[in-house]
Amino acid sequence: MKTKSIARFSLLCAMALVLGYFERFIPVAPGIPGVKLGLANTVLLYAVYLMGAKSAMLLMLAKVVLSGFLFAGLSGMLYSLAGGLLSLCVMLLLSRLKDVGIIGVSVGGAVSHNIGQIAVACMVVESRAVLGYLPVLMISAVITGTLTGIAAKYAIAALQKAGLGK
Amino acid sequence: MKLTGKKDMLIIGGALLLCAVAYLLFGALKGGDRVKIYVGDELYKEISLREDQTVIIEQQDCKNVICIENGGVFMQESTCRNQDCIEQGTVTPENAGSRALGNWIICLPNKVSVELAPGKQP
Repeated sequence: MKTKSIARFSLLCAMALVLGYFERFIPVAPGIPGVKLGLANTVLLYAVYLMGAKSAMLLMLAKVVLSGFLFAGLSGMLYSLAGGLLSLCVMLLLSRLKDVGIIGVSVGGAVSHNIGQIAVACMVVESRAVLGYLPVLMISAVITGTLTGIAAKYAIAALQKAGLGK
Repeated sequence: MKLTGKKDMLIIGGALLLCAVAYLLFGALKGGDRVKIYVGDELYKEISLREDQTVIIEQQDCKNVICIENGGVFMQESTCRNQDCIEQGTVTPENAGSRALGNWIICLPNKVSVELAPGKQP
């Protein structure tokens, strides 16, 4: 049983890394860092719903550290870590609430991810200029959060059918 | 597990409300004819949009070239890795209201930002 969960964890981690890497080639808003599809969040949503808080947190940390070393660089890692931590906490909280569906959880996660990144940018750049990013990052989070929420729903359903659910 | 819950619209609505507040606070500023260049949080230089010129900012390990031309300001050159500031294009008083970043050009890695601010009335 333990081997199975290690294998599943590695598989999810690899998926999150690949999705995070490939979405770099899909420019949503050139010139605006932080506006992205957030496809890797579908994997995290799976973890939130089917693997529990501890595994989800571990998965997020592994993804952030590995993609930091592989693609984003150290400063990028700082941004992803802040966004990832805040967004995962919000998603874990929202997913425990009654009447909140996966889309609500996804949107909440996307919005808080971008808020976390802006907070780091404020500290790093020490300028109010970064607050100019806030409106465009927020609206993009609502849109992409809804889309990845829908994607996650169907991905999770398919994975459960394939025997990878709980 | 359900695709949508009753409170999903509440979350989306709340997020949209947050967007609107953020836009009103930080995005609704229209550009003027004063070009303010900041390094970090400090005003580095304030110049008029009406005079064509080039401003070069050299820091320890990076360099930015800001260009004012034909009533618009843009980042011509930057040593940063992502080149986002170049992609952000030209800001003019006319397009400042419709650009994603409003009246700002921001180079996060080099901590250089350019604001097209309203001028003081003479």
